[in-house]
Amino acid sequence: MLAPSPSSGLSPEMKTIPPLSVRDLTVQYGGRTALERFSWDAPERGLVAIVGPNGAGKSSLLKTVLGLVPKAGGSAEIFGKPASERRDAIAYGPQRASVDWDFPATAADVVAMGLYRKIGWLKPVRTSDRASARHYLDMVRLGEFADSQIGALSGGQQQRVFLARALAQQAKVFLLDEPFAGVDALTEGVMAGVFRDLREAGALVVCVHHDLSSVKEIFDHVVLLNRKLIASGPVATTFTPDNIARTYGVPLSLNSST
Amino acid sequence: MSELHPLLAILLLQAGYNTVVVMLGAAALGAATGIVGVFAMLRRRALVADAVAHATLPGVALGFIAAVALGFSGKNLSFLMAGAAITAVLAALSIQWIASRTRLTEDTAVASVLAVFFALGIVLLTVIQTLKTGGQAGLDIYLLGATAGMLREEAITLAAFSLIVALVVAALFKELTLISFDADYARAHGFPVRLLDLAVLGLVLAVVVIGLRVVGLVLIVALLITPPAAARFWSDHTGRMTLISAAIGAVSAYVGAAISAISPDTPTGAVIVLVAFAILSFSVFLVPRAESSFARSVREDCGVHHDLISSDRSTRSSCRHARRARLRAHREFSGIDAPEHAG
Repeated sequence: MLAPSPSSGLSPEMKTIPPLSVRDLTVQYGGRTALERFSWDAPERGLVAIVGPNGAGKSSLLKTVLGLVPKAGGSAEIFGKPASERRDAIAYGPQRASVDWDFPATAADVVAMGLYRKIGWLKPVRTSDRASARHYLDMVRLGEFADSQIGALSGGQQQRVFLARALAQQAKVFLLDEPFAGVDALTEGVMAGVFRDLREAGALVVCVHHDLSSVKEIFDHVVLLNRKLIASGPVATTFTPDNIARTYGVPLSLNSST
Repeated sequence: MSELHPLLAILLLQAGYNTVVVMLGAAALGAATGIVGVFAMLRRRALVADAVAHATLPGVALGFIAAVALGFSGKNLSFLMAGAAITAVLAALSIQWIASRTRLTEDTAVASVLAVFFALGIVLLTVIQTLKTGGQAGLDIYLLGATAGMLREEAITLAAFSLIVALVVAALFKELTLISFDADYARAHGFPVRLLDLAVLGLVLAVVVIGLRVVGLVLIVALLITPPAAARFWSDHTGRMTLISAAIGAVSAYVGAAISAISPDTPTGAVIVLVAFAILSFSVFLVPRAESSFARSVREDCGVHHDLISSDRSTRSSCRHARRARLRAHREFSGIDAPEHAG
C-alpha cells in the first residue's frame, strides 16, 4: 500500500506503533473549548466512525491531528510522530462544503491534486498522471465523468471525487470529514466498497460520520465524542443505545462553559 | 484606394516603430496581469489588490521627491516604481496585521488601508506641486495611466518584467491552483500555503507596480479581475482559463495603447478597462455556458456536429452531451495541455 521511502521514515517499528495516537488533546476556538483532554489510540487498521452531535469537536479533532488548527494542549501522533513529519502516510478529505465547486477544474484535475506531492515542485502534471487520476476515478466509478466540470456533478459524485483524490495519496491513514454527508444510496455503496478494500490493504480510515443508522453497516470501530471522549471501541460492543444516549442525550453539566 | 482609418492603421502595426514597441509592451503587461489575475480572483484577493494598487500613490510621490532630492529627474521610472513597491508592501502588511491582530474583519482592514494610503498620496502630490522643480505635471499619469510619450526602453522593461511574472506563475502553477481550490487540503499534505499566498500577493504587487505607467493605479484592479472573469466563461479548466485570460488582458491593453496613440489625452487605463469590460460583457451574454438556457439549445446542436465542436474549444467545453467528442478532442489536445502546467 505504501511504498517505503527513506524520507517518510516508515520502518518495521511502525507496525508496533498505533497509526494514530491522541493524548490529552485540548482544542479551543475563540475561548470556547471544542475538545477537552481527548485521548484515543486508533486500531492498527480498519474503519472508524467518529460520531457525536454538532459542535462536539469531530472536525476539530481531524484538523488538529493534521495541524490545521492549533492545539491548546496534548499531542496527536501518526505512527509516533507529528503529522508534519508523516505527510506521506496521510490522506485528508475535507468537508464537501469547504470548497467552491464552481472552481474551473474537471473531476480528473481535482483527483490529480492528490498526486502533486509525488509529482514534485516545478514539474507539470503529465499524461501518465492524468491516466493515474482516471484510474482513481474508476475506483469510485466516476471514470466517465473525468472531464466533467466539478460543479456539474451531484453531491454524491463530488464526495467520490474527494475520495478518489484521497486514494491518489496512497496513504496508510485516511482522515475524512463527513464523506457520507448528502450522498445517495449508490455513492454510499461505492464508498463503503472502497473502504472495505482499504481495510483489506491494511489502511486505517477515520471518518467523521453523522448518519447513526449506517454506522453498523459501514464501520468496525466507533468513537463517541461530545467534546470529551464518551466511549470508543468495536461497533458491536461500543455503539450501544446507552452510549449513544450519553453522547447525544442530556448535555453534560460538567463541561458546559456557558 | 482610400487610406485606412488612423486607429485601424495603428492597430495593424502601421504606426511608427516607437508606437509599435509601446503597444507590444502594453500587451505583454496585459497578458501578465491577466495571468496573475486568475489567481487573484480564484484566491479572492481582488479587494486586497485594489487596496495595494491605491497604496502605491504615496510611494510614487515619495519616489518623485527622493529622485529630485538626489538630483535625478522626478520622472525617473526606477525611483517611482521603487517607491510604489515600498508603500504597496507596507499596505499589504498593514492589512494582514489589522486582520490578524485586531477584531476588525479583513474587508474593513482593506477599505481603511486603501483610504489612508490613497489620502496620504493625494496630500503628498499637493506638496509636490509646491516644490520648485519641473516635471510635477506628469505625475498624474500614474493615476489613470498613459502610453503617450512612453519611451521604447520603458516598454521593453515592461515586457521583460511581464515575462518574469508569467514564468513565476508557470513554475508554481499546480501549487497555486491547489491552494486556490482547497487550502486546507494543501496544508494537510504539507504544502506551504502561507508562502504560496505570499507568492500570489507578491505577483499582484509586481503587476500593479509594473502596470502603473500604462494603466494607472486607480484602475489596475480592473485589468487584474476583468480578464479572468471573462475567461471563466470560456473554459472549465484553470490552465486554459489562464491562457484565455492572458489573451484578453493582452488585447485590452493593446487596443488601449493604440487609442492612446491617436488620442494622447485619453487616459489609457480607462480605455483598457472599457475594452476588457466589453469582452467580459460579450462573454457573459454570448458564450453558451452549460448552465444557461441559451446553452441548452446550442448543446443540442453540438451533439450532432462533432466537427464543429472539436474546432471550437469553448463551445466544446460547454457541451456535456458531446462528451464522446470531447474525450477524442482531449486526447488530441493533451500534448498542448501539458505546457500550461509546465510553463
